[in-house]
Amino acid sequence: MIALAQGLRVAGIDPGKTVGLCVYDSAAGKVTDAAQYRSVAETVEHCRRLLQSGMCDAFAIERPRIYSHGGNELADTIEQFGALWHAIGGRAPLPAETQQLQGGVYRVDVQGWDFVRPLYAIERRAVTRELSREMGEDVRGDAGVWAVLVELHGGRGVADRRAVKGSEPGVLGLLHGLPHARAALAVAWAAAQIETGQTDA
Amino acid sequence: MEAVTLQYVSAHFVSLSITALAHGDAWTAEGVTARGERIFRYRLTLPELLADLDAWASHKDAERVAAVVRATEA
Repeated sequence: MIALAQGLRVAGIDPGKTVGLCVYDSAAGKVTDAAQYRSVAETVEHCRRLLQSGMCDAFAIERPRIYSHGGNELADTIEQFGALWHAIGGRAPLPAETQQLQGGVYRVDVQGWDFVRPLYAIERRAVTRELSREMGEDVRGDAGVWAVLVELHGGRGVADRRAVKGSEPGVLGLLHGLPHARAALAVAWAAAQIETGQTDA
Repeated sequence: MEAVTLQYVSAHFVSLSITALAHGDAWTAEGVTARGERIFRYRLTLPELLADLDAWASHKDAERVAAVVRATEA
């Protein structure tokens, strides 16, 4: 495990037609980077920049498990997950090389050129389970997840690009107008919770 | 009852057995990994099924695709 005295900076990724990316600093309780892309290649390039600049300690990708619809988008999303998993350092299909920490949470250490980083695959059910545990109530749906993340970070105003005219943005302000990056925050937040719990245990 | 199974492997570690089962006019599609994890399951019509199977079979990342059609017991 990496040292977490300074907290954990997790790059969360939400695959899909539009890929959301968000870097969350768990010590500061703040989003430090956010973006959305229409391609895996752009997402991978962003991840490379994060690694080169030392801006993140861990990666977490939402693993798609979908039970309501199919179509091209389902195939693309499943392939995107595989491509990102591979690009960030995974060397085999899930769950072959990974440790399943709990239902829907997989973790593997990947070797970077500077140090080893955890790489998580987290299913949606695990994200909502972590949020529900934190809140002590059942958290469901995209809107519910976002509402809880806002509440956990201080409530109204934290997601404003400018909390008050001329002042600093809210701690989630970088996510303004980026719904897919908001979904990526949920993944990053859950991974930070789980990683910290692992280290504390 | 009929069943169609598509074995799908890609360059990105995606290895799925996609099985479609007929239930009268409706179909159910299910995607399972080599380790038996169910990744997706949903109901669909025959035209939707044909489109979905084509989406997998012609996916740009596909490395190996093989289809098996068989009759099963009702």
